[in-house]
Amino acid sequence: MLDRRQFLKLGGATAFATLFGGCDKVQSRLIPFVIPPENYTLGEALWYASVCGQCPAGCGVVVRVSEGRAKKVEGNPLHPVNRGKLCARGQAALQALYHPERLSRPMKLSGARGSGAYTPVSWEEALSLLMGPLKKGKAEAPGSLLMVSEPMRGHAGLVAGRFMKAFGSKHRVAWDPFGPDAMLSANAAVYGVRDLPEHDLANARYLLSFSGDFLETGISPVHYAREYGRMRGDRETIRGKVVHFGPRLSMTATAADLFLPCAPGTEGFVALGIAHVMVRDRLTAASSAAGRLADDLGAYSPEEVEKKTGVHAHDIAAVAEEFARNQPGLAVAGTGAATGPDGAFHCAAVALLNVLAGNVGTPGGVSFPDRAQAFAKYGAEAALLAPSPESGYGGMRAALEKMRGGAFRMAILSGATNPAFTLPPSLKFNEALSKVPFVVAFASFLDETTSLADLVLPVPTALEAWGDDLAPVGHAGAITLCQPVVEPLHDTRSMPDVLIAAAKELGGEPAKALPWSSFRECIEKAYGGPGGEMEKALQRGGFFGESSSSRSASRTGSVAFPKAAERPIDGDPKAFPLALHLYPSLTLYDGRGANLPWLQEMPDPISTAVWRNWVEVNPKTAAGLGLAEGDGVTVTSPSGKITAHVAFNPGIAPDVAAMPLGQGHTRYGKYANGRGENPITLLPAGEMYALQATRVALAKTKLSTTLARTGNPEGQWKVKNMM
Amino acid sequence: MKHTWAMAIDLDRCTGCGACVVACNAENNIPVIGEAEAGKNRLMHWIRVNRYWEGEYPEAQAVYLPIPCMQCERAPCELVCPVYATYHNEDGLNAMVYNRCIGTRYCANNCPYSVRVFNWYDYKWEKPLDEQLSPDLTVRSRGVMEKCTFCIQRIRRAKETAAEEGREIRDGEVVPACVQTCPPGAMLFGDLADPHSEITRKLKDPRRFRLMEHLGTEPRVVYLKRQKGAGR
Amino acid sequence: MARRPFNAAIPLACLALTLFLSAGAAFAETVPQPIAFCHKIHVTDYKLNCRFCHSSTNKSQYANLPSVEKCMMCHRSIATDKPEVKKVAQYWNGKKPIPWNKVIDVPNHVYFPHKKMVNAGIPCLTCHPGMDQAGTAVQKLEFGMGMCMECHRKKKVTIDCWKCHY
Repeated sequence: MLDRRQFLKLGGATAFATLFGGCDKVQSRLIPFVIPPENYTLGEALWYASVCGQCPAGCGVVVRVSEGRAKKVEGNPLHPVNRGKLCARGQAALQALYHPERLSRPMKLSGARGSGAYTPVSWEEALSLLMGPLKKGKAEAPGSLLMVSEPMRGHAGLVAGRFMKAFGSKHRVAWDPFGPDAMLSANAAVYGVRDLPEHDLANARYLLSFSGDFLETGISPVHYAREYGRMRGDRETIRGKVVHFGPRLSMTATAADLFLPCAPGTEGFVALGIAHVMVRDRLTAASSAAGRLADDLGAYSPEEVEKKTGVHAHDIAAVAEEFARNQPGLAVAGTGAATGPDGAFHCAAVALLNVLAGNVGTPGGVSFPDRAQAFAKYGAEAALLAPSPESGYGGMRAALEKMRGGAFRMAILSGATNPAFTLPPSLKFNEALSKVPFVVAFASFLDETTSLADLVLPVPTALEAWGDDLAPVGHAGAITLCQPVVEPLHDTRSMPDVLIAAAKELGGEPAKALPWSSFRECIEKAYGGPGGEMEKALQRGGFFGESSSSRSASRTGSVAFPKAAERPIDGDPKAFPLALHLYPSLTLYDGRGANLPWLQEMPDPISTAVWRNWVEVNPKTAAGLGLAEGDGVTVTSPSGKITAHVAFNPGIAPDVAAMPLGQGHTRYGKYANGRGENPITLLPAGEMYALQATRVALAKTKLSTTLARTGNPEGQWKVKNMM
Repeated sequence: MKHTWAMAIDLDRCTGCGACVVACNAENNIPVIGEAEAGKNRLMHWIRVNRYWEGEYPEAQAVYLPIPCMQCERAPCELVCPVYATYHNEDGLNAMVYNRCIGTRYCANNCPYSVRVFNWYDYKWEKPLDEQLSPDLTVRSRGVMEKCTFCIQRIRRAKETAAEEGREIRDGEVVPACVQTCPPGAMLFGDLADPHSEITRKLKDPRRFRLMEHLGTEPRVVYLKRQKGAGR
Repeated sequence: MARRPFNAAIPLACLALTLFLSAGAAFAETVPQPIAFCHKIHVTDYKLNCRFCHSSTNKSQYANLPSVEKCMMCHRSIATDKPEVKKVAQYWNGKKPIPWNKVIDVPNHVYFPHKKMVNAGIPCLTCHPGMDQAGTAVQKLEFGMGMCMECHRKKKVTIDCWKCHY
């Protein structure tokens, strides 16, 4: 007699999808199980825990599964990062899972590179196509293999890192357009820790936000949104106050009690102005640091700062005093400040305020959890599992240079960060990649990058795969476990699985480095295998019990004074009167969400626009240019020219034009394509990945499209009545 | 036991992030209508987040207002339905019965909050997006009106569980999808008939107000004003 | 390894499901079935409880059909020489489910939880009269809202529309 489990396995993989009662509409059939799964009652939904995977924040999720289909994603209430909460992008993870345009089979190129003409092939054929060049490369020139991925965390990172090392190539680049490089180097300079800090918003009384975007697209938006809510309303007698400086009234800025607009690229000077007042008026907690900085800060009196930034001197002085007197307080720099050409200066100047206020390593302040500690047993390899959250822009540029020089015979692409879309076109990613003879891409969708590959291998989404993860912030040392919450929808294999199989076939070093039969086995070996602790952890969604010790911020006593380098942004102010402010889209993030209909149809909180991109300008600026809301304009920078529709933002500095990133796809499927143009094309190819690096000119033009906005159908209320 | 379901939305916590909107999409089989229809103001969302500007640069400010169905105690929509497709149910909710609706749209016309949305077409879920459709509630067809139900399917589920276990529904047991996901915890749902429930306590806050109070619709959705300053 | 249900202390109550099926139930007609299953033999002659096979009627919205494994629990050794039972064995050996045709249909806009009725002590035959004497499934009573309402009124159960239609 067949063993019960074995039988399930035989019919199992497809059983959930097809052998089911009440689902076959056409023939009106009722098809029962051959063998029902254990503990299963027809019609009763079950919840499975996993990780979100829609952005790098690493929130834990639970998925409601009914009849083998995922119906609803919610935050995992046990997960330390998001505690049951989830953002719009996370809620939309189901549309990525059930997307009609998902890649269901391996495909090989059947036309010219980049033509998008592919023929489906079997996995056997795909793997032989992959192994040919791999074996040849390993034998002849192992250093000629390039891997470009999004930052890979947990054991996926270990597999990829070990594979490349054993193969003999050190060319592994992790690309993340919003990687907080500037913040990392600022933190290294000010705190002595090259890592992301935890901001303890919930216990802070005062928050200074410098172009902060912690509520929308920052490092961990759900985590910080929850903390923000607690800061505002969870304490009996204290309500944390928020002051926001920045060139644009963003969603995070609207949450502030006081929004003080500053000129673009001047956030750091405002911070130094506040530091000046704190030192001058002896309002600092860290007197030794204050003494050392007093001379350098002398040049940043509120009056001087006002000239540079446009923020009134009396506002700077008042905020400085309030900040100093309402401790614990926090100063936070956001993407807008960090992605200017001088981002490291802005971030360092802001970090200085935390040092002066004595809020490093205290409740309501800044701390640095030791992320690598969770994977300490891997020793030197721990960095593969908990990589530094950098953008990898430097590595990317170097790799592009080598590609052009013909150094690579083969490239492996993976991840959602889509370099062909998110890198400035002047870097010529496409052209460089065309110099690589064989390109293989692991992907769920064809996009601008993966459609340049010779071989495309379909991967499961985060809800269909095994894995583990360590969130960048808010994790308290917790490791998230991922499991397939539904049977994989398509004939997909995860990248670690394929690498493990490839290593086995290569034999020798690679086979020794990846000694597992599958990635699932790798995870099970790492966490104690089925049964026991791992079983329980999978039910909870991970290992949440541990608390990590903090690393001490060693430098704070001897802070180097941040120096503002004169790095003017691109474009002559006469020809290009407006500074271009690019910001990550709340819904589409770096563009990866653009193919999900729910996200396209969710109105933007500032412009209320759907399905298309826009350029935000101050109504007064628009009036000067003869522009009305919804008008078409050309946006011209020294590097490029695109069109967009005008949306008014009464809280944006008059000399700024702002655009969200994420729209402008050309090869990302029918929901994403043709929804405006990609503002990245306006950027110069600088040494830094700087989103605030150019000036633009706007000119009215006729567009055949219109910008759909939702407005307020019930009419206009007075804001006063709501405050 | 009769319930008096109510929702509190704390504007001091709301950030306008729209997580509630997409959570509602997923929970309630809300169709996607596309750009052209969206341009005609036909978005099918059961909860929307309004954004109000006030003031001019540099003093410009904005406030967000999430607007689900207010579940009015004296609902203007109920009075005008010629076929009783919308009525007041035993829990005091403003119910909408799709199989009765004949699509006159009088109710939407009479709703001061513009929260009712109409199925102008049979909206399609391209395969396999339809796999996500929740089996807990009807997929509405062309010609019927729909609106926020306070996630009646979740209320029903909680009631059934409580009945099976022979007890009353616990405070916090019913959580609509929007309230469940709200990252800053701006939304709260509960039973005003329970004097010890969290929402009963929360709504004693002097910051409370209801939209268009002067109309006398007595909404079951109560807002708490935004605050200013560091103290309380 | 089977997938593991999440078991945190959150409201996990997961009950209601509405069938997503096209309308068009065959009323009081015999619907052809792949196997000429006989309800009478099982229910009347051998006195099997309905819930022996339709085991989720008291736990779920649906009255499930038995799995092939359930059939084989008995028919591995009972009546193995009968032609219809041999068909069951064929499905079992081929690891295929039995493709029963649908007899009773609940429209999309109705929420009908079997468990509420069963747990309220309503006998199955109240709504499915004659099933105990039938061969393959037949539905002799036409379902309509009037029938539901009559019973709900008699038993003083709510007749709120939203009880069943949402």
